[in-house]
Amino acid sequence: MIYIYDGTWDCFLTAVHHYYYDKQDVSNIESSLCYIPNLIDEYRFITSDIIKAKSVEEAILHKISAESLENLQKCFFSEIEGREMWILKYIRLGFKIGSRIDSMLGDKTVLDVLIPARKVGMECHRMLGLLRFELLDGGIYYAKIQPDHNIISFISPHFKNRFADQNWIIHDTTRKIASLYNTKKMLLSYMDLSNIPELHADELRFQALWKNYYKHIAIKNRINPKLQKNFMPKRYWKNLTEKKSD
Amino acid sequence: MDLNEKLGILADAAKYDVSCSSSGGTRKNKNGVGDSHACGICHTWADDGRCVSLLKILLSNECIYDCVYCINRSSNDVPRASFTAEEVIELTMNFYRRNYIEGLFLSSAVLKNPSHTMELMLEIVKKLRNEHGFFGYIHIKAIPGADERLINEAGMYVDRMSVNIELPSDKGLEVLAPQKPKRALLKPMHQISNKIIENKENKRLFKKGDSFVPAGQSTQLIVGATPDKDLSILKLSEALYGNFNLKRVYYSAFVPTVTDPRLPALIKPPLLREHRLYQADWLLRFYGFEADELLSKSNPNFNPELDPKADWAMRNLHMFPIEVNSAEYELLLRVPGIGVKSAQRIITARRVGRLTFDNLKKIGVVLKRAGHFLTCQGKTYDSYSSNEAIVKESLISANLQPKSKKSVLGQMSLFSLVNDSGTDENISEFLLTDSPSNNRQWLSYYNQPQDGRLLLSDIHL
Repeated sequence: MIYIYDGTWDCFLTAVHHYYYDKQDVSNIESSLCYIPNLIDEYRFITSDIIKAKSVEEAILHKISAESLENLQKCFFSEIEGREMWILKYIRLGFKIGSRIDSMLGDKTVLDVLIPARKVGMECHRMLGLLRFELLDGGIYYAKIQPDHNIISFISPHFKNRFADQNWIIHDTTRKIASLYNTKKMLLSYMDLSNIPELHADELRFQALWKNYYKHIAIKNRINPKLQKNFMPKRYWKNLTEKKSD
Repeated sequence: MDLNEKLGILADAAKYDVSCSSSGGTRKNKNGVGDSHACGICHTWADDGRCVSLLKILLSNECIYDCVYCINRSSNDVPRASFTAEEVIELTMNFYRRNYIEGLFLSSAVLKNPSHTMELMLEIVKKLRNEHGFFGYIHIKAIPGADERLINEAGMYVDRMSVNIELPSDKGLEVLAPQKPKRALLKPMHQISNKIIENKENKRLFKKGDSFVPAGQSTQLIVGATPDKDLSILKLSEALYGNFNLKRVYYSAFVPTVTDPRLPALIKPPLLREHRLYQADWLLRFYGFEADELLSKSNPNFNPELDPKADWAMRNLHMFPIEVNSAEYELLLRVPGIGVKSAQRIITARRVGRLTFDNLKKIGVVLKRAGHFLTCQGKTYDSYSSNEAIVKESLISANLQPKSKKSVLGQMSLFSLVNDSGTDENISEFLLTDSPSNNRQWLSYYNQPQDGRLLLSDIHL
């Protein structure tokens, strides 16, 4: 039996709930966004059930640990193929042995979840620095990101805290989702690319100042592009003011 | 002169200052802009591979001093400029709001006299905090010779203050910076250190008041401009950490920016030497080593072939191999190929079961290096050898892996340092303990139906 869920965390947890209570033999859990049906396998479509989802979340929190729950969430939002079954296996083991699982750093089942979770953690940390706002007409600071993993929900609270007196939007243009903040409330939603306002009249001036600064701080005797790319992979450059080609 | 041109000149003049850290800040946003992140954030990496977290500029490069090694020396023919307070503030606020930077690093040449310069810097940090509601990170240079009261007042507004010790010995200073005797440099350091302790004590007793230099003080010295040995540099650092409670000592390979018969004729900056000092400095601060264990009078300079930890292990082969499943944490830390994170992971994983070499690999131990120093449940690793020459050969070749990130030299950022100390771990991961904690509630937003797309025009900001 293959479970098909709608790609959301809650629906995934609903599938986990079904797995436990329906006692079916599940060979895979796949997102409806990427599954390709075949004639042989049996499918079951899972509809999101918030109560079931929350009960699984509570169970992870209490029977395993908060640390595990965080790692499982990070792993889920890594969007790495195959993560659903890794998470299910982890939960199964976790329910058996409890919070001891957080110490089993050499175990394959644990590492299958931990390694993607660490990748997400790493990218989150990087993106806190590598995200660039542009001032738009109407006083909105707008940032475009295209991260490898689906990290917007993890990074947005940081910016809410930091830029509390600004209107801002962080827009993941790959996944077409955005977090928006209006100095009072923040929300996360799907967002289209169209009708984004023009740049504010001042914006290009500060971009030019920043590019000029960036150019000047490098010490010519020590130029080291390889080292630079190690820390700041090229795939991020297209949204970096100082690296963007105009 | 327009702002862009000034920025170019004063960024150029500041770039030889190594410090880039924005960690250790505890300042929280109170209805303004900005916040400190406990572990610091790098915002970009320059073409030389150094990370940029702060807007690092000089207030002015019009210096009255004529220190031989310095690009801003009064007798050097370079374009000169000074910012106004408003210009520094405009740049800081606008760069910060766009998330280009984590804060401001403001240094200055000595304009007119030390107190005058300090006063100008104080004015800027005061305005940033009081008038612009700026809570981001600020690091300023204390100008040696400035009025004590000015330095004390500035300390109430900034996160970190530093005084550059410039050169590792009095003799070097005498020749290359005759206007800056070591005493004059140590005096403000001492003052800042005392004030930090006093402030902490007051806060403990009265539980209120502003923090004085909450992220601590740091210093920097130039390597390779004088004949000082690595041993004396490392002993100096050890003393600075011990006596002045310094947070960091930065080392900067001498880059010849001016020619002078009193300076060595260097063709290339001694980057490998700088690198070894960083590795050793890391060992002092996080691995429980002492300077005298790493170097001695008969062996006063670092081995160019081996990193300081591997070099130490080679001289102490009689202590190894140690048993991973029982060795103490402090001893695990001394094994080449095991860093702070992997040592901690070993301790954690040991609680639930005995470890094998396969487990160690998954934990992040570099067995290519560590394999010579460990046993797992009494067994040695495949490539284990007790032959000194073979071990050395293998450690050197493990260091020269072309694909390895750690073999890239010349980085001065915080992020590379753990890597560089001969371990396999990544400091970012190590620091990532405080990721946003309240994200759980956000996850439910993903359950909005896909067709409920929001358009910008629907949002009333």
